[in-house]
Order: sequence, then C-alpha cells, then structure tokens
Amino acid sequence: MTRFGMVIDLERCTGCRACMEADKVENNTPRGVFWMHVFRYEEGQYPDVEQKFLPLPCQHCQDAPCTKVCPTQARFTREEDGIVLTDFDKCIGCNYCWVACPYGVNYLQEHREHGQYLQADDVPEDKSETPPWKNPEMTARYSPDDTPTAGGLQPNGVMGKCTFCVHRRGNGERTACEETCPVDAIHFGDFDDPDSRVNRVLEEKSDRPTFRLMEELGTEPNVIYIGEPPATPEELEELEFGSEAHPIEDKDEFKDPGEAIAAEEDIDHSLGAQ
Amino acid sequence: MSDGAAISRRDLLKVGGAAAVGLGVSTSGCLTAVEAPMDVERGNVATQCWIGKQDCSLYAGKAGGRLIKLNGNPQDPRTEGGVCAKGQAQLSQVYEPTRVKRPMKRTNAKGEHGTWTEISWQQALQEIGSDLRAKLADDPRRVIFQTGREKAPVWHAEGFVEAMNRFAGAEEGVRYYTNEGVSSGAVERMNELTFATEGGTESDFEHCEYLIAWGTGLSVSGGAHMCQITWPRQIVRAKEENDMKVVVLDPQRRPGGGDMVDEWLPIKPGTDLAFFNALNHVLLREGYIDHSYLRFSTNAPCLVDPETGHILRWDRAEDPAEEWAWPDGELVYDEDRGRIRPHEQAIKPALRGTYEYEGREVTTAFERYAAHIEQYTPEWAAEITGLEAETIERIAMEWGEHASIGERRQTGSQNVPVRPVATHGFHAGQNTEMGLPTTQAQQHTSMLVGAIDVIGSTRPRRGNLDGPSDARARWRRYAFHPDSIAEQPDGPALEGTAYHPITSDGYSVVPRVLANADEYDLPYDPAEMGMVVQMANPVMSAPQTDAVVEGLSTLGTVVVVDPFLSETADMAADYVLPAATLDKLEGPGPNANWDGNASITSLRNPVMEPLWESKPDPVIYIMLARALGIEAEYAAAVSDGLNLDRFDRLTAEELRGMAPEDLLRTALDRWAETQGEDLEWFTDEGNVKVEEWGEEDPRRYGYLWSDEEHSPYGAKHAFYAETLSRLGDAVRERGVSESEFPFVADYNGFPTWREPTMTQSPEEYGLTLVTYKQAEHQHSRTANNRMLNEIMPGAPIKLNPQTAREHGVKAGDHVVVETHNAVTDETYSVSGRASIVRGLRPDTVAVAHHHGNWNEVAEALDEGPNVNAIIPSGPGYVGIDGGQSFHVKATVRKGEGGEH
Repeated sequence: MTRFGMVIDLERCTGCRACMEADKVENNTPRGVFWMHVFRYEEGQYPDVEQKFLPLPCQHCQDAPCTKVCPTQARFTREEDGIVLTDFDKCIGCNYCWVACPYGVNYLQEHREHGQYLQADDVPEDKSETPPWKNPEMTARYSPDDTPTAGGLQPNGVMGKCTFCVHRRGNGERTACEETCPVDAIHFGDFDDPDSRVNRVLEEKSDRPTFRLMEELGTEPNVIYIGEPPATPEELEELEFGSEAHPIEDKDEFKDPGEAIAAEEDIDHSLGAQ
Repeated sequence: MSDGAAISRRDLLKVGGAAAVGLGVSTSGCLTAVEAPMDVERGNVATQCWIGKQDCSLYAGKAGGRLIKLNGNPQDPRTEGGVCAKGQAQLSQVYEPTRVKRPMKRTNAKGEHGTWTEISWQQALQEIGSDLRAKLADDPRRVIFQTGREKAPVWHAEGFVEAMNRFAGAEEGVRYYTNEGVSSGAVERMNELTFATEGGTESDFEHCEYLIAWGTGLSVSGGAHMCQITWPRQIVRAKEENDMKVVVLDPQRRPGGGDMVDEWLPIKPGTDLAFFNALNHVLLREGYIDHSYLRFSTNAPCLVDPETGHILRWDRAEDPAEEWAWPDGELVYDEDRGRIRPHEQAIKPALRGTYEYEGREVTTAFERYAAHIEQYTPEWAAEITGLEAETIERIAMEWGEHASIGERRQTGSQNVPVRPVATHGFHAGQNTEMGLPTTQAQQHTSMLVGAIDVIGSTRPRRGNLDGPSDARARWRRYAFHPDSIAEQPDGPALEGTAYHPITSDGYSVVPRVLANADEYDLPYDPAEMGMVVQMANPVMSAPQTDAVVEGLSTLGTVVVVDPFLSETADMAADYVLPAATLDKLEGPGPNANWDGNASITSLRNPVMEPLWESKPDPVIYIMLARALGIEAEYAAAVSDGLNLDRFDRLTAEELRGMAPEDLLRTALDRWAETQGEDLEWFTDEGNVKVEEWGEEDPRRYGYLWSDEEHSPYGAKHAFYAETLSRLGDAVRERGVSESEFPFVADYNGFPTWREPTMTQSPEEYGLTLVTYKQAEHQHSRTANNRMLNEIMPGAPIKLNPQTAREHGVKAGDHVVVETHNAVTDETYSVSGRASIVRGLRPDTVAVAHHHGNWNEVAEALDEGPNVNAIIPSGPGYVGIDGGQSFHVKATVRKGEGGEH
C-alpha cells in the first residue's frame, strides 16, 4: 500500500511563504484561496516573545471527516495512495466539507471568470498561443475513473483544497511546496515505505518533538510536524490577551478577494480602453 | 515508490497523444467548458531569477511557448532547488499588462504625474543620443548614471559608463551613483577603511557557533550580498550541525527569525554603538583579547601622537596614502628589543603602554582605546539601549568564551585560527545616523577576539574577494593629503568635497543638492545635466519623497530604463525605455554569485521572446552606444568587462554592423569561452557553473591572503581609524561644522557615543519609527506584483500592545503616523491600518517599506503607506558618507489624515 503524507519541520521553517506562492502558481488557484497557508503567530509577552510559523496544507486525514459529509461523494479518499481529493464533476459547492473539516483548509472557489491573475487576453495577440500560466496538466483527468481532481483551470463554485499535487503523482515528482521550500522544511512521501523521504526525515529527527494537529479528534492526519506544538489554551491562559496565540497578521490584513478582483479588473479594463 | 525527482537538463518534449480534455458541465451546472491544450509543446529553460539580488538559477517551465512555472535549479548550491515567494511570483512581472510596452516620451512638465506619448525606438534613440552626446562632448560631469540593483553591469553600470568616459577622455567624468546610501554604504565604507576589503559583512556559517545577528537580515533579507534563500539554509544547518546560538539585536522580533532565534535583544533604535562599545568594554576587562591578531595584523600597537592623533612614522616611511595596504614605518614599541621600531620589523609589538619618543610620552593606539572604552560600561549602556546591563555582560562573556582564542586548525597546508563567532552587517549599520562609527564598534567586537576572516568568524567583505582591495586608497588620500579634497563638487553627491570626502553615492543627498545647486556650487545648472536611471527608483526608495521629486525634476534630461513606469519615471523622466524582465538574454550576472564556499556562474536565458517592444537591457545599451556614436569605446569597455582576449574583443565595426540581439549573443558566446564553455552550454545545457573553493582558496579566508608573517591578510587592519580622525580635522578646517552637519562629530579614531540628532525632537514625538523588509517583497520592485500582493497586501502600522493601549488604538483602526524633523522642525505624516504585535519595543512604531507606490496595480491593491514619505533626509539624518538614516521620532494617533 501507499500512504502519502508530509513531514513539516517547524524548526527549519522561516515563515517565508514560498510554499504558499508555489502552490498558487502550480495550481492556479483563484485569489483568496490558499491550498497552502503559512500562519505566523506569536506566543508570550514583550520582551519574552516567541515567534512561530505553521504551514497548513490539507492534512489528508486517514479518517477524513470531509469525506463523510459530502452529499455527492465528490470528496473521497483515493484508495491507492490515501490522497483526499475532490471530483470536480460531482462537487456542488455545498460547503459541508468546509464545515466538517477541523483544519480550515477547504475553500469555496469562486471568481473563475475573473481574478485568476491575468487572463489570456492580457497577452499580445501574436503571442497568445496559450494563457499566461495555465498548466495543461491541471486539466487532465486522473485516477480513479479519469476524474478531474487536480482542479483544471480551477472551476467556479466548487470546493478546492490541497491535492498533494495529484497531477504530479504519476511521475514521482515532489509537491510544488516541497520543491520550492528554501530551507527544506517540507517533505513529501509514502509513510508506508520505510525508505521514503518522510520516514527518513523522521528517523533523522527522532530526538525532536513531533505532533499532528488536533490528533485528539481521531482524524489521523497524514501530516506530521517536527517541533513544539502551538501552546494550548491552558498554557496561554495566563496571558493578558486571552487564551489564544497572537497572529502576526490577522485575517483582516488579507484583502477581500472580491474587492481585489474587481480592482484588478478595473486596471485591466482601463488598459484595454487605452 | 520513489519520491523526489531532480529536474534534468533542458528537455523540450512533445506530449503526443494526450487527450485534450475539457471540463464538462458539472452536476452543479456552474462550469463552462474549457478547451485544455494538452498537446502543446512542453519544456524547461535554464535561466536565472530577475526579481531578487542574488540571481538564483532557475528552470522555467514552459507550455506552448509560454512561461507557466519557475522552479529552482538543484545544481545551484545557493538554493539546491529552492525558490522564494518572489521568485515564484515573478511570473506576474513577465505578463503584467502595465509593463511599459514601447518607448515613451513625456508630454508635460516634470514634477507632476507624467503624461506620455509612445514613440518609436528610432525616435527615442535619436533624441536621447544627440542630447547625451552633446552633454558628454562638453563635459562628462553633465551626465549622471544612477543604478539600483545591478544586473549584468558589464553592459551598463560599468560598460556604458566607461564608454562614455572614454569618449569624453575623462577617467571618471560621468557621475556614477549606486544606491548604497540607502542600502549598506556605511558598513561597506567602514569595511574598506578598516580591512582594505569591499562589501558588507558575511559570516562563515559552515563553522560558526555563535552569531550576533544585527538588525535586518537573519532570514528575510539574506545577508549583505545574497538573497533570501542562502543564508537561512546555512543558518539552519549551522544550528543543526554546530549548535550555533543565534542572538538577534533588533528593536523588532521581525518575521523570519522563528525558531532560529535563541535570544532576542530588543535594543532601542539607533543605540547599537552603545551596545557594541559596552560589549567591547567587557571583553577588554575580562581579557578576551587575541593579542597575536591585534599585535601583528592591526594598527592597535602603533604609537599615536597625543596631540594630533596621528600615528607616528619613521622618516623613511612611504606615503601612507599610497601604501594603502600596509603603510610601512608605523612605529610600535618592540617588547622583544625593548625599543621603538617600525611595525613590520618588530618581533613583539607592545599592545599596551606609554613610551617615551623624542622627549614626549606617547601611547599605543590600543592603550588609547582602553582609556576610551573605560567609560562605556554595561550599566551605562543599559541606560542608553534599554537592555539589561546583566544581559550585555552575559552576551560579552558568551562571545568571548565561544571565540576560543588561541585555537587553530589545519586547513590544507595552512594553519588558520579558529574563532567561531560572527556578526554580520549591512542595512542595520546604514539604519542609523552614526553608521560608520557604529559599524566600527561592531567590528571591534570581532577584532578584539581575532574573529576576522578566519575559521567560523565574521567575514568583513564580499565573499568572492580574493585579496585586499584598494577601495580605501581614495579615502586615505583625502585624509593624508587634505589638499586633494575638492573645493567645488564634481557632482551632486558632493563626493570628494569637505561635505562628504567619503561617500556612499548619496542616494538621498543627490536630489537635495540638485534642488539647491547654487548653495552647493555645482559646476552646472541641473537643467544642463542629464541622468540615465538603470533599474533604480529613487523617488520611491529614497527618503524623503517630496524632496526627491523636487530635486530630480530639475534635471534637463532624464532617461529611465525600466520594465515599468516607476515613480521616478512618472515624476522625473523625459523618456522611458522598456526593458524586459525574464523574457530576455542577460549576463554575466553581478558579482554576488557565491555562497561562501563556491562561486556560481550562470546566465539569464530568455524564457520567451521579449514581450511587446521591450528589449533586454544589454540590447538597449548597445543601441544607446550606437545612438551616441561611441561604438568603439563601448566595444572596448564591454570587452574589458567580459575579459575577452585580444582575438575575441568586440570591434566598433561589429557594434555598428550587427543586429544588437546578435551582437549580444556573439559577445556572450565569446565570454562563455572564457568560462570554458560556449553560449549553448549556458542556454541549452547546464547554465550553472560551480567552482568549489578549496581549503586554501583565498576567497575562503582573508587570513590566507598573504604569506607575510606580519600581515597574513595582506593589509593592515585599522583598529584605530586614523583616517577618520584626520578627515575630521580636514573638514572642520574647511568650515563644515557640527552645528550645521551633526555627522561631523563622528569623525573619530574610536567609536564615540552621542545622542542621535533625532532625539532633539520634542517629547511629544515619543516613539521612534523603524522600517523593515517583508520576506514576500523586494523593495519597490515588487509593488506592482499582483501575486505577492495577495500573500502580503500591504504595510500595516505595527505597534506594541502597550503602545496601542496608551494611544487608544486597536488592531484594524485607521491611524496616523506623524514624524518630526529635529533640524528643520518640519513634520510629515502618513496613515494606515494599525496592527498589534508583541515582538516590538513599546517605544517604537514599525512600518514596512515596499508599499505605497502609485503605479496602477499598487494604487488599486496595495494597503500600505509609503513610509519613505515621512523619513527626513538632509543634515541630522545622514551620516559621514551621506548615507541615509531610517530612524526618526514619531507619534501615532487614531484617525484619518496623512498623505496616504
């Protein structure tokens, strides 16, 4: 059997978000959708402040709650390798998976027509053989049953999330985030293969603490983190600002995707009008 | 299964037979059919990053002739296949529709937002060529060449400038200015003065065990010369393999440190000199002194005239300015012979002591230093820096212990000291008004324990330097021959004058002087001058924005070569010439191609043909050289820059006769031969040439630069800055006074504390504004990058929770930051969204640069102010070298207002 997963070394991570951007480019996701998100947060009070980073892809749970609630069986676990995928032909964008997932990695993908950065129209006509950076492999169909699971050009109105770069699985390539990580903090591989990279890294780092996110929920995530876990609410209870770690950037620092897309449209239209 | 597959050499392939599929209409009914061209040609082009400063080797994935993805090149030891967020997102700057598509000519007055008409390349070149040629022919000082980030400088910053000078018959008539004055100029100048090297300060992470990371750059900047990837990789390894301790000295616990940081010292902005002096006080008191290094490789044992501060020299000494590497005949007391002798003849130069010389008492420079440093106790520094005295004391002791003074290790046939303690330096040294003396204090921390360019230590230079640099010769000439200091400036950076005999090119000085040309006695009215701006954007990246606009707008002709309509182009350009981004052939790269253990050479190969009517920068300069009629001079200058031998040199005929694109390829093919390859090897095969530095390679350790026993570095290190001391006397004599130019107080032999000028601002400005670099951005160059905007959309105004509470501010509130110029009493303000972070000193407010640009994309999407708009330039905010400080007193209030 094959059980794909990741080992993410938080003791190496510098929070640079290269993995976020690599995912955006590789999977051509719409604005505001982050199949990989790097959370940056602080623990402690000045001057004893710790700074932490947590890259968060889909955890590809072995007992994935999202697959259980999907009314159309669009969300499923691929038996051959344990990757949790969405069949975009079946997905109705109902958001049940979003509700069921404790990790917040599902996105309702909207704005397909606009806002996937630049459109083919932005390229001079004589050089517009294909859209600017639409990877053709994204639109292929993959097993099982030739389903469109990689996202294609990221269809509108469906639930998207990290696919472990399913379109790369046929040739043994690394995931885009692993490939780009400047400090080799992300490792992808087969947990059922004793010689795989993920198991080798765990072996090399056997003296370091490891954890899985919200393991107590029984979801059995296939993502293992090396490093100290985020402080628990109890551990943070004494802190003046409540029992939560403090984000270095709060959610409001990211733009509303709709507003950003509208702004981008305005720019491009004004250029077109010139 | 096998996981991980290295990308191999360029392998264009045709995916035949793959089904072209479309997305059918789903059960949701919301999908539209899209034809997906699976059978397009696929391929990889080995190329090089354009957006950053390190030029990492990349593979550009293509489909159907178009760029779709950038991946790292695993053959590049600097990245081993990694790419940062900026590297990934530069796709956006290839396709960005706001790129300048054709040459443009201004149709309105400068100083206001530009209106433009598109013109042909032919017209642009004709008009620019005749304009600049006339100026050059009259006096090359009428032309300024301003660079920012250098890419393939042989074609422009070096080659084109050199060609213009050759045409004008002047060695350095054309004013050539870099952006060092807002980058790391202060550190570079002090490294030149002290060590006879060039560049900022790196560290030997392969062996380092204790790092004091000074200010910006632990991971988000990548160090003095590199980009974001290499240093974090090396620091992580040093932590894992050497158990390296990382101490960060910075008012901000800025993003990027994370788990790599073992201890954060939240120092009060602008007080680093006090911290390092106190550290050095403890090192001296506790005897953490490398006597051998200080005695034989530095001027610490040299005897100093107590009245003049001049080092004593015997009467047969050569000119100390000419003998910039090892000024001979400097007198020391030889403990072995019991008498005063020239340094190079002494068996055991005394480090301490007072001796009689020609009937008077003279002391060693180090004895003077001991007396000087006595006052700077940890308790004293605690009051200044806001750090605990015990902490300073402990850090000094840890540093001293880790330095393992006396330890040596065999490296090949060489026996080299081991001092595994390091402290890097670049922008942190530039941040403060007292950049040079602060850097000197930082240098002393390494020098006292002998941790200079040996195993595991600080490397005060650019990594690929393989011997002493004569960069300090010019500064020494001014110091030892004050008559050579010019009465009238040759250019608006005031270089070589009593204002700034030592210069970092005055990125923010230039506009102020242009705006006040008569006051500074410029040789020409700015309206009679021209400027070429290559990959620089001073209007956005130099404080203070309105002053920069005012100054640059006075110039008669400004040509901006840029892929985008930069703010400098918008406000000050007469012509904008569209450069390509990744869609071009360019090279060889700048001199930042090393990782501390190897040199790396590669080319920027075009991922596509240049879009629209943009052109590769080298092609633009080939065309400009033709337009100016300086083909022979340019052919010679570029040939020199490419190290072409006499049979391969470019000729004037080739310059005139070949298509510029063909000429570029021809020249690079000949250059490739000097690398043992041909151009195809770089474009089609490997593209990454790695030259490992051997154990005894001089680039590895400066300690290997000479066989001379008294000078393994090939140069005497100036522990005592006699040059600065002498220059201070000279500039005062010329009437440049402390009252008008506060930096004059900093011309001292040893780092001397004074309160920064900004502290004279009224008490109501109780905060200090500090700026920082975001990991996701690359200065103003990425402000129009939509992809980076998505993951880091702006620059919030960051406050400590306590400060926010005291000012009645909550996260998300709109706040105004107002700053105060302590010299002119002017105030400036911007506004933005408040963000609360705990890793920030309560007496500071932090705002990232990179933001607040006014191009179409940034104006629509960006949510941060242009922080440079509220940082004053001019006296009180620049240092000895004209380098810009990025500290200013500020206050914050809730509400609307400000310029943003």
